Order: sequence, then C-alpha cells, then structure tokens
Amino acid sequence: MPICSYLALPIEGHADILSASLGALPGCQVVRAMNRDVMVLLTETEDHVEEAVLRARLEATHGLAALVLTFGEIQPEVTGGGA
Amino acid sequence: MSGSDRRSFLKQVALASAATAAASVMPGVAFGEEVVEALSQTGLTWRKTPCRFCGTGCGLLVAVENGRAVAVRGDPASPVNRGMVCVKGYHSVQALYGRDRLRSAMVRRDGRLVPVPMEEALDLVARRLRETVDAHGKDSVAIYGSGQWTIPAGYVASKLFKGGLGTNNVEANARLCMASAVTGFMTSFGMDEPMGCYEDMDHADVFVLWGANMAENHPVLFSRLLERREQNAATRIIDLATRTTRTSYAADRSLLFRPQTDLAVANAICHEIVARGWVDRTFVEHHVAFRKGKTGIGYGLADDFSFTEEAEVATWDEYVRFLEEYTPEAAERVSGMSAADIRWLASLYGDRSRRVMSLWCMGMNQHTRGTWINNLVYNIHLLTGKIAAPGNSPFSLTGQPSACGTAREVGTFTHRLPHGTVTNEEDRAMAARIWNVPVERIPARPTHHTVSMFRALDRGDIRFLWIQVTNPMVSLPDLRRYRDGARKDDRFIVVSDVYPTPTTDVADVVLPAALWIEGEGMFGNSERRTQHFEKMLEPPGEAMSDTWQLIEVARRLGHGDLVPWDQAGHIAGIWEEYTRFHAGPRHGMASLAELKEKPGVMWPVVDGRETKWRYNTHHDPAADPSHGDFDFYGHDDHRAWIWLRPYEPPPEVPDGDFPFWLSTGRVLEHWHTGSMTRRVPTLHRAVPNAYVELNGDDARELGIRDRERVRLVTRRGSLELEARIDYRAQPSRGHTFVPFFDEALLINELTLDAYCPISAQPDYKKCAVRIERIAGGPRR
Repeated sequence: MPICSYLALPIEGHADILSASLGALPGCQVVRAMNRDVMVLLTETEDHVEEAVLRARLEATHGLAALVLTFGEIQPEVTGGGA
Repeated sequence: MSGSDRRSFLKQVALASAATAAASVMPGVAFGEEVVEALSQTGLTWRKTPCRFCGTGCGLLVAVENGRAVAVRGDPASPVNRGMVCVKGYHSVQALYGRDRLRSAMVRRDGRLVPVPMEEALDLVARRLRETVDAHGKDSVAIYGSGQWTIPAGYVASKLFKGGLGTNNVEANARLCMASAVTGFMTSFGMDEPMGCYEDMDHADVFVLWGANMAENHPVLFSRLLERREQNAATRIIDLATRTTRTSYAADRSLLFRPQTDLAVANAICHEIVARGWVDRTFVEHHVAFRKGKTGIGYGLADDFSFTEEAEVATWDEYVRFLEEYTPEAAERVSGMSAADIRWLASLYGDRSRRVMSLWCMGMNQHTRGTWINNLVYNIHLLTGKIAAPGNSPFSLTGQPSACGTAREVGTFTHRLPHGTVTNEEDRAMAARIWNVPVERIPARPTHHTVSMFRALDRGDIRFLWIQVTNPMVSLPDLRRYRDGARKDDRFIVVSDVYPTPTTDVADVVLPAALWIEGEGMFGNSERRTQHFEKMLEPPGEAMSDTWQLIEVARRLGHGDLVPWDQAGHIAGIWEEYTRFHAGPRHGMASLAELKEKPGVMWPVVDGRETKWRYNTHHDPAADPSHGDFDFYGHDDHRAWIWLRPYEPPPEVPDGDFPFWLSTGRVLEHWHTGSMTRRVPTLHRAVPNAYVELNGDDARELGIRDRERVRLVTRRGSLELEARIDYRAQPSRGHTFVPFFDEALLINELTLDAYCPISAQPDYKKCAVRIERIAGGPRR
C-alpha cells in the first residue's frame, strides 16, 4: 500500500485551483506552504497499479507546473521480475 | 507497530521529507503546525547513498529495518538534488528484491547453466583465464565493465589486468555513452571532465540543450532548470533536438535540426558571433589557441580501421576563413533550422549580459563526429568567454552513476591508467611504482576499444572475456555479430551480474553479484562529485561484490600481492592507494573520512576544500593567477583550444530502400537495458515494452494506426513491435525512435556499429530504416 509525498508547483496564478483539484483526488492530501506557491501532496493508494493510475491523473491536473516525488514507502513483500 | 500505526508513521515521514525538500529548494518556505510536528517524529534511521541509476548522482536516504530496505527519500543535504527524487530513484531499492535475483554461481554444462558453489566457480574462472593466457597469450583475455563499477571495483580490475596480467584489454561500457565527451574535453582543454558544476544552474540565464531530453533522462536536474526559471523570469530554456520530446514542451523554444547537422549549426552560431562582433577579444587573446585536425576521417566500419588524430596549429585568421562557408543561410540548407533561429541562438550566446549554460548527453556523444561536436560547442563558449565561471558553463551530462568516477577517473579503458595513459612513460612508471610491479609489465600500446574488443572476440583474437556490471548483449550496436561471436565454441565468457540477462545467456560462468548498498563503495557523478555509500544490507545467497570477486580471482592467479587487503578494510585500503594517483592540486581527492561525512565532495580537493569552477583563478587553487582570470593548465600553453571542425555527413542516410531515420534512446521509467528497472513492478507496468514512435503524418501516409504492430527493417536485421503515434514524443517527419530497454525487442540488432574515429564511441542515433505494415499494407 504505497505512501508517497510530492512537491507540487502551480502555474502562476493557479495555486488555488491546483490545491483544490489535487485535494479532490482519492487518497490525496494537500498541505500548502504559508508563504510560497508550493504545496506538499501526500498520496495513499492500495497498490502500485492504483498508484500508477493516480500518478497519471496527477500529471494531468490543470494548473500543475511541476510535480516532484520526495518520498515513497517500499513494499515489504518480495517484488516480481519484470523481464 | 500495528499496520495503522505504521501507515500513520510513514505519512509523517513522507510529509517531513517533502517539507524538507521544499525548504532546500525554496529557502524560507514555511508550513503549518502539522508539518513541524511531522519533522520532529520521523524516528527511522536513514543512511546516505548516491542513487544507483543515472549519472546525476542524486543523494538518497535509505531506511533499513530488519535487514531490509523499507523506505527511500531524497537527501535534503545533497547539493545535487536538494531532497528531490525522480521516479527511478524512489523505486531504486526495489531493484534489490526481484524474485529472479541471482543467488548462486552457475557453470554451463552440456549447454545448460547449473548452480555450483561460488568457490568452485571462482576456481574455474581463474583456471580458464590462466589456461587461455598460456595457450594464446596475455592479449587473448579481457575484462569489460561499466560506469556502474564502483571506484574500487574498477580500480582492482585495472590493476589486475594491466598491472598483474600485463594486458591493456580493459574496457567499459562508458565507451558507449561518454567517450566523445572525454575526447572533447581532452582535445579542447587537455583534461577531462567539466570545469563547472550543477550550481551553474542557479546562476545561468539561458540554458541551451543540445540533443538532451533532460525531462526524461535527467529529470531532477531538469527540475532545477524549471526552478531557476520560476525564480528568474528572464530565464530561457531552448531545446535543440531532432525530435519533439517532453523537454521540448517544457522549454521556451524547441528548435529542430536534421541528424548530424548540429555540426553546421554550431559553426554557424560561431560565424554569427564573429560577424556581429560579439567575440570576447580579451578572453580569446589571452586564453585561447587554435587547432585544426584531419578531415574525412571515416566511420570505423571495417575491422582493420585505424585512425590517429594530429593537431596542427591554426590562427585566428584561418579560423575566420574556415567559418566563412557556415553562414546561417548555408547552415539552414543543411540543418533545416532557420537562419533566423540560428541568429537568435547566436545572439543569446553573444549577449554579454546573459550567462549561458549548454547541456548535452547522448545526442552529442553518440555521434560519428562526437568529438567534433563537443569541440564546436566549446568553441561557442570560448569565443564569448562564457566558461568556467558561475552560470557560464558548457556542461556534459553523463548517463551512469560512476561513468566519471570510475571509467574516466580510474581509467578503465584500454589506453588509460588511473593517472594518464599507457602510452606515456611517466604515467606507466607512476602506476608501476604505486602497484609495485615491473614497469615493463604494463604494455605501452593500447589494444582494443569496445567495438574493437567485441570484434576481436568474434574473430578469436580474444578467447576469454569477463563481463561485470553491464549487459552488452542488449547494448552493443549491430548486436547479432557480437552475440554470435560470444557464442562460438572456443570462447569463454564470464558474467558477473545481479539478474539473468541476454548477456548471462551467452555465459560459461555466471557469478552472482552484490548490488549497490549490499556493499561499500564510491561513485563519481557528472560534476566531479565523489560520493561514498556504506554497506547497509547483506547480499542474497552467495552473491559477492564485483570488487571482492576480482580479488578472489587475483589471489587464485598468484597475484595476491596486488590485492593485500582483508575483507573488512579493503575499500579503505583501495581508496588510500588509488588516491595516490591523483594527489596534487589538479585532481586531489577527498579523504575517506570526508566522504563518509559529507554528501559528496567535488575534486580537485585542496586543503580540504572542493573546487567548483576549474581553470578560474578565483576559484581553482591549481590555476595560476599569473595567467589572468583563467588558466587552462591542461595544455602546456595554458590555453583552451578552438578547433576547426567541419560538417561531415553520417555514414548511412535514408534512401529509397530505407527511407526513415532510426534513433534510439531511453525513457523516464527505465534505466539503460532495463535489467533492474524492469524488475520494479511500477516501472515495468508503466512502460512494459519497447515501441516505435512515428510521426503522425508519416503514419497516416503509411496507413499505420496507433498501437498497430509494424516491422522495422535495416541492412542489419528486422524487428516487429508496436507503433505509437503522438505518444511520449513526436519524431519529425521521416524519423523514428525506439527505446533500447527491452531485452525482448532488441533494437540494437538493427543499429549500425559506426563510431567516432577519435573517441571510438558508436552512433546509436542515426541509421536508415524501413517501416513495414505486418498486414502487408502500403510500404513507403
């Protein structure tokens, strides 16, 4: 059950709409800085498939200039080979 | 800790990590009480390491619980990434835990690899190596490593083969990714590696990206460019490329040129700078000299190809005459980039009020004139005096975590030693003295660069090859020939790796390797920063570090005197010995104690202080102020050299039979041949297979729809894969792009093994291809 945190930077003048849009997505919590147009986004999803879907939705959010991952919990179970 | 407690705890850690990263990139940023509380309650013990993947060298913090890595975050103390991480870095420790991780050694018997004890496998490796030398001579054995070798591993490999066995058959896959950058530096400055550092990104006003898709391949550094633009409205990011990528969309301008014609564009920029009087005459007069080399130098396609560069002194007047033919209009005809855009680019470089940073990676290096285009971009910075000062910086990015630290600084190439080259008597004497071996044992002649080494394996000149930390059976160009060569009956191939790959498929012995933080080591990143990491985890099964595998084999060969270290102290012992090669103000390295304490240190280190801008007498203790503000001490004349390098076409261009360009490269989610990132479920699911990007108009003309399977055909082979149209990037008309991470879809069976004659780096960006519909549709 991945937990991630991101720094989200809005396009100039879009901080309010970005904050509202991100906060409305399932499993997302937004913490805005008090003195700068930057916000912390915490995400909590059921599995890595859901995380990937959410990530795509985040990147498509209106008003987003940049999204940078800052933390991710590692799945405790052994992961599978992909090749 | 219960499940809900743990989740709550991890959310606090995640919140604290993000807030710390924000404070690093935006000093003074303030959050509310919940963040302050989270920052005080992280609890976990975090240990620092550079990321395992690309050459950026992001600092990571890894938390280990019960012998297992459980969390990753960006290191806010790292000046490289300031707490930020890309999607690969975040998932990096998951690459440790793929279920098919190699845990025991294997030996091929009756055509199949069967498990054997590690001791038995190491005995066999040593015995076959000795037998091959006895039967065929010392140059019949070779080692091929990579820019993922730790510094100690690369050092021991070089010492064993050059100082012990007495062969220069040492190469690394870094030849495939940055050899042209090295020869560019060496010919222009006489010394390798950038004069500037990432801090230039905080000072520059203009960023010109020469064929570098940084948004996908160096995402954290690209974030720093975007952050700079956020802070400074006058900042401009210009993407020069042969296709439209995510980088192009984020840039202020996207300028496209035809493959190989960056040579003409760069010369035209210089033509305009001279014509408009934007040359920094004082800088040029005091710090620049002119050289010309050979032209019509070939492409290395034949086995018996050889080339030796000769530098001939030139003058300012000759240089101006050389530039006459490179008018912006002439360059437009060759490149397709408009003369107006070329003039605009020249005006950015020529404007004395703007600080300009040029950045590049594989687009310029994987180029049959890779050395030349590196020289030409330096020419622009030298003409305008925009070099070796904060924000004025030509900067060559790298692709592997220790391409600089190991391959370039340790010198794991046929012609190199840890200090200098095998052809230099003094350098050989230094190596012999530090290694305590007879100087005669170190051959004075280089043998094979990478392509030549695998051709020699195919011919039978090399019979024994030990491959560590790399996957050449995915990454070599014109792959079929080299795979067939490796499979020949009387070749003996040893592969040290962490997962099964197409390279272990051709192995006679597979040695399971420890990965990254399962051992202690150091990497060196693109900005001359050496970074240390501790052993945090036990490797699985009998897996062993590459360094210790080499030491075990050296002892079995009777070279125990070369590797006298015990297991507990071998990294410290190797570091002490290795850094003796670089002692002095030009390349002094940090002490191990400093490296353990700090998130990396940039060499040259003088009196405990790192150097940010080499050759600048105000920043570099090795630079002599008697030469003025700059001292390019790599050359005996203390000058940087502007080279007269013409445009020359590539060896293979589209024609009636093969009407499209084929370029290869990477995607954000996968790193190089995918042997690690494809074991990370999130990354694998995000991009499970390779594909071919087509231009929308080309696809319509060919009757090809998005996601339809097509066949790519070149003179070397064919490959069926999915077509993607207007997907991650948009090739120009007549162009295609295929990522090379997919071992099931080996695009390098189609690429051409032409290379830059000076650097011997192959060109993976240009060959001619035909696109066929599988269903038998129309063919262009």
